[in-house]
Amino acid sequence: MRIRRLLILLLLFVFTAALTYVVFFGVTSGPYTFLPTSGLVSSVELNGGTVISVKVKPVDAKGNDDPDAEVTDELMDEVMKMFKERLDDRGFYDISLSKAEDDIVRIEMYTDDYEDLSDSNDLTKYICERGVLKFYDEEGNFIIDNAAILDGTAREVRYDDTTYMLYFRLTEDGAEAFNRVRDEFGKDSNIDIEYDGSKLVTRKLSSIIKDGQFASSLGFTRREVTSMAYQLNSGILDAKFTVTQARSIKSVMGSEVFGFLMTGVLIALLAFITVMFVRYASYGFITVLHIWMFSVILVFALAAVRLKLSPAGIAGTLIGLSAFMIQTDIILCEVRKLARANGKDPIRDAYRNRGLFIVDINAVLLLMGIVMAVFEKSPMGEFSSAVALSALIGFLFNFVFLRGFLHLFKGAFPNSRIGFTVRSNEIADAGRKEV
Amino acid sequence: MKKGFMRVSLLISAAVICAAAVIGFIFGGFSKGLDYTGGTAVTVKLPPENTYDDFCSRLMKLEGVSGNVNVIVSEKTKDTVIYIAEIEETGTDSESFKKLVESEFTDRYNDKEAAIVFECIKFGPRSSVKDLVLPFIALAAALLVPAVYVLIRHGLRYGISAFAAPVLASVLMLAVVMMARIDISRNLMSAVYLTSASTLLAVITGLLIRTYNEKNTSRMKSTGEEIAKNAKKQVRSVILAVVLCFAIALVFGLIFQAELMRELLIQFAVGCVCALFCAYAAVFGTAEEK
Repeated sequence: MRIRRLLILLLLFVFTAALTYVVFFGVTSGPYTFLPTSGLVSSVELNGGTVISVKVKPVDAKGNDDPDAEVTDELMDEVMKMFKERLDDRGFYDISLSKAEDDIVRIEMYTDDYEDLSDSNDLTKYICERGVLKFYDEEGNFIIDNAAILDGTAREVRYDDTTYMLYFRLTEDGAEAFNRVRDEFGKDSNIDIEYDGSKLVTRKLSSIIKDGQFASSLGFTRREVTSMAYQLNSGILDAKFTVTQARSIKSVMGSEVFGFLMTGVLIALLAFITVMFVRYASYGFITVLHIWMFSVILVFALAAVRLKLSPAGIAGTLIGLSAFMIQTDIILCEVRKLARANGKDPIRDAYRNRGLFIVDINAVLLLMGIVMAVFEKSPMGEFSSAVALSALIGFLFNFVFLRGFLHLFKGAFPNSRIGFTVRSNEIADAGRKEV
Repeated sequence: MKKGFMRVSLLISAAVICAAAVIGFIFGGFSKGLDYTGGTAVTVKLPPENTYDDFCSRLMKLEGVSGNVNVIVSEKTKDTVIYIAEIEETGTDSESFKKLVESEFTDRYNDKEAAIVFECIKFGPRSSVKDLVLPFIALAAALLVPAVYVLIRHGLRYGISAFAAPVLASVLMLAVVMMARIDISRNLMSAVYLTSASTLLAVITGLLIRTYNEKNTSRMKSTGEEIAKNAKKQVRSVILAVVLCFAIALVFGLIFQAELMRELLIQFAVGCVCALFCAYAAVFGTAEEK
């Protein structure tokens, strides 16, 4: 029995070591690489990003350059507001905009934060389009433009695995305009669709308009359709834009900051393990296994939710780790106290006494995380993910795994060799003072 | 003793907050970093002989340069390095400053092709105080809900402590940051979150240990004061063990990190101290005599 428990403990150490290797170094099989930590998204502070300067030029109502018009503060404010709306709608919360000079907007963005945003070209395509959609009949007469789209209804519709359609609802005037075209040219007449001055496609009226709704593929990729839908929802920009400079930047917190951070946390964990060895003698081994496994699983889980390693994300992870350490210490302290008092089953009793403590601590952190998650934006988003996930995993580890580890460890070593066997005077002291 | 401790805690907190308010009034609020002031961004390509420190010190010696200066490495190759320097105050317009930078960095090395000033533009603030409103509302909500949970589980006194202590700790941290004139950046909220969450954690830990000890210790054998003393000892040892570990990590970070990181780590450290102070006061300062 003892040997079997020793073997299980040994296997657990080996399993944790293998898990650590997979999580931090990854495994490759043929063309596929499984590297969970690649899911952790570095923020601009840690990873760098891109800085773009965009020059603003006013245009007239038809979208042509207006040499006489000047860039006013009102236009700049409107441009910044619309950029912000378009970014927020897409969930790109952490791209910062600032007004530079009188006619330049400076945009700072991350390079690997968002799936749909890989470089500055993507970004300018998303936010710098004017967003004017126009429809013409067979004879080239104007039918409607954005004004006939019902507010906020534009979105992408997935038709099958490869085709994505643009969808929106028309206002009454818009639907009426298309009815007139139907009456005049027939339901199979051709409609030309133009976006920002360029002709996109020609479609049959009956295939794109039904019951006041527009839906058509327009030959776009998903990314382009989504982008267009957001632009249509945000309105028309009365300006054109030229990128005057796009430059990548390295980490603003020092190039090796991630390594330093990891080393710092590792030192903290080692210090804690040392403290546990000092306080709980050989039961410190349990904390090694416990914290090691918890850290690896936590990193795995954080990577799975694509946690952004911004200062707020790191702060949340530190809180989660602290809570976990406190719970571990409290449980071991209780087990030791009961063992010293010669309790029948100190592990079971310790969990009976301190079980609600673990529930309360994790419930508080989980609630905090959930409430913050409602606000989505950075820095709440990453802080809430880190805190809530740490609480969930911490609860599982401290309530279930730690108990198992303690039982295994207790059964694997003779009592005289483990930390909680105490001298008789200590038992007397403990019994008198603590219980 | 408990009343005295509570009184002293409140006096210290009030004094720090008042002093911060006065200093903030004199200097016009927080000492703002480039995120809140804006400045001039200069992009310069230089030969690799110019090290980061070299570049920074030469830039800061230029006429008119004052306030915060952040320098970010944009690209680095064997032959050149591109820096983006953000300068709070250049004392002149961007065109004149561009010429000044050109004369400084091209003349000295007599290598006009290697040293190029790509761009020199003035930029506005990236964030404003308005941007802090939502994160603070989120924090208030995130503290209130757990406090209600604690109130339901353990009573009014604990619920109030679970809300008041983190709020006070955050306010104290901000007051110390204002008093010490530490520049604030957009990362300020991370430090506030760390402060309030660690206070909440410490308060809950302390209160739960205390409750447990009160419930499980025989009053026949121990007086209320002994129970409190035991709980205090236990709370201290638990919190200090964890704080000690993270203090090591913070010191490590402070020693080795780049300058931009240092401000954040100092704010984290100040936040942890305030968290400990407020948590201790909340757990033991408000204890009722039994």
